[in-house]
Amino acid sequence: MTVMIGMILMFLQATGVTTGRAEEPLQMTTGGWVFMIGAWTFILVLVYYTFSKVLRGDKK
Amino acid sequence: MANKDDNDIDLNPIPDFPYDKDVVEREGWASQLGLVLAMAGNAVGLGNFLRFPALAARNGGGTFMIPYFISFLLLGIPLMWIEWGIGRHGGKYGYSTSPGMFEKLWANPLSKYLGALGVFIPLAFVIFYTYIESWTLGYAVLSFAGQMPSIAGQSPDQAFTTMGDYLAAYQGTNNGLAWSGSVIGVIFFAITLFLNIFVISKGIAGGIERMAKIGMPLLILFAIIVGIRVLSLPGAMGGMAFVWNPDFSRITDGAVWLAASGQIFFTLSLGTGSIQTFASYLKETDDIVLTGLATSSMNEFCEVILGGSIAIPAATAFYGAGAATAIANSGTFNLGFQTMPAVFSGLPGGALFGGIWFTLLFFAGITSSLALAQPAMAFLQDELRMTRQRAALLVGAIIFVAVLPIIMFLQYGYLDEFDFWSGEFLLLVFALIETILFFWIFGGRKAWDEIKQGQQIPLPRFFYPIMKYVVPIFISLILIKGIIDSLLPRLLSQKWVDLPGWSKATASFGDRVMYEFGFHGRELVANADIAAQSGYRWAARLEMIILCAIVMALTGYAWNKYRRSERGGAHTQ
Repeated sequence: MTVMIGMILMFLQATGVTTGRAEEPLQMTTGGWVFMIGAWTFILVLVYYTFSKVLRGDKK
Repeated sequence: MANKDDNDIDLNPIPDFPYDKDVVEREGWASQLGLVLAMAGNAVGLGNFLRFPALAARNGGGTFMIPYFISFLLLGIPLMWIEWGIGRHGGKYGYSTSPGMFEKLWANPLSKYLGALGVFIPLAFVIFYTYIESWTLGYAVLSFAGQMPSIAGQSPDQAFTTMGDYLAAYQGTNNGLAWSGSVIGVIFFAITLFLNIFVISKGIAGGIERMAKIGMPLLILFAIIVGIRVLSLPGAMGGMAFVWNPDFSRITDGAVWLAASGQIFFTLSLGTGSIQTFASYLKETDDIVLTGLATSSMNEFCEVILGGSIAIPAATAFYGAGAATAIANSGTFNLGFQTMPAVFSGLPGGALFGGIWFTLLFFAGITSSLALAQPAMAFLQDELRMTRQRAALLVGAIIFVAVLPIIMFLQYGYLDEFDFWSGEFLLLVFALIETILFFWIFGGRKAWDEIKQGQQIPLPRFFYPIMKYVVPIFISLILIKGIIDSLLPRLLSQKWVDLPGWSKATASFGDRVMYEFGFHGRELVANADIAAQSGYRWAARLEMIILCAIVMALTGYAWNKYRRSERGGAHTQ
């Protein structure tokens, strides 16, 4: 499915505008913060959810 | 719980043959937390701290996380559950390795030989991995002892060269001889091998689980310490920007999606056979849905949060933003053993932080190598009726003998061949085989019920079609891409070169798809570097073939000598 999504997006890119990140200054952009905080939050919630249950299971 | 009448699943924990408990005693995990940490230790390796951040930076930064997390949900976690399910299912019948596990999934004489790949692959993997792991131990000790070279007054480029020369001296590739190897490198390898053999000789709960309970918390603690130090450096946030700033143009690049799915596959240590072996020590009623998810989430924590905050930000702070791309492209080994030591050498208290950095890499390495060694251990114990100590000694002896050519012919691509076949290509082959066996030959319904058995959290229904259809398609695409991009050029001593005038940015959708699969926009040309090493590379392949043949022969021998007699002449039910 991911590959299929990739194929669709490849098509969209082939018909769209390409931008380069190399020209941008190396400072965290709003998008960078959003992706970083989003990814970190997702992982930390997952770790908390699973490990709280694992530790609870070991105490029983 | 499975309906036995409908699905014909044997949930009886008693093996279907008279198992000799005096000869082979089944081990087990002391706690669920210990199991999760050991599994996470298996997954968390050098790639979490060195490969992931560079890959993310090269493939669109923050936007790389979109295909990365989608692959995590659609490939990583489902395949993780499949491997746990196969392992626990085989464990019910007293099998700790995939030859027996596969035979329980597919009653065919061929199945045990397909399963033998699950013993051979991790054995070949651990042979070269232990050697690389020994570099981290050696560098940790040398850093703490203040024996790393000084780079005072040197430019970043000079410092990189200095560290490169130091690494070459450590590896013994600059000794002026036709073969490589240094005394100090071999000493640290021997110590690393001894530690590995000592721990696995103590068994599952007393060795691997205890090591994971010590190693994983220390690894995380050390990574947090180094991460805080790195992010306090001037310019380090530029590195974070390099890793995380989204490049939305790359989100539409199919190669980025394949890179993300490949990273998820390798970072979770899927396809090695070690997850099945660890899971075989579970009880029938133990959960695998929650523990599999906990293992995966711990790996992601170490990779995305910790791994993403150290190497690239540190390198960017030291070398400057302009060098960020070159650093990301410099490769895992250069980043870990040249760039990072140079960064720490230039810091106040650099010896301490460098030592901590390499110690955390060592813990990441040893928890993985222990898991990779365990299938061979379990095979010798279960199938050839060896004692644990004797099996550990034999595994150690095999690693020691088999690694010698890797050390001696390091500069000729010998290690690279081991890495490609047992660390990449065969993992995909094995994962595809096990997925087809479990969900298509054993049966999708039975496989699904097996995974759900003992679940502590609900398993959403939509994962069933993902496991049955999406996962094998996913793996097949990565495999085909690997054959085209790496296997063919490697075997033919060639390399891919873009055709003049080819531009991905202006190509049509169809042309870009054709490009990825090698039919358009690029061609194979002679690779003089690979061709010059051809003899050594074929020697490495021959060594792996011999090793594989030995494992296959031992599998056949074990079945004829033990398994057949235990079942009155029948191989399977």
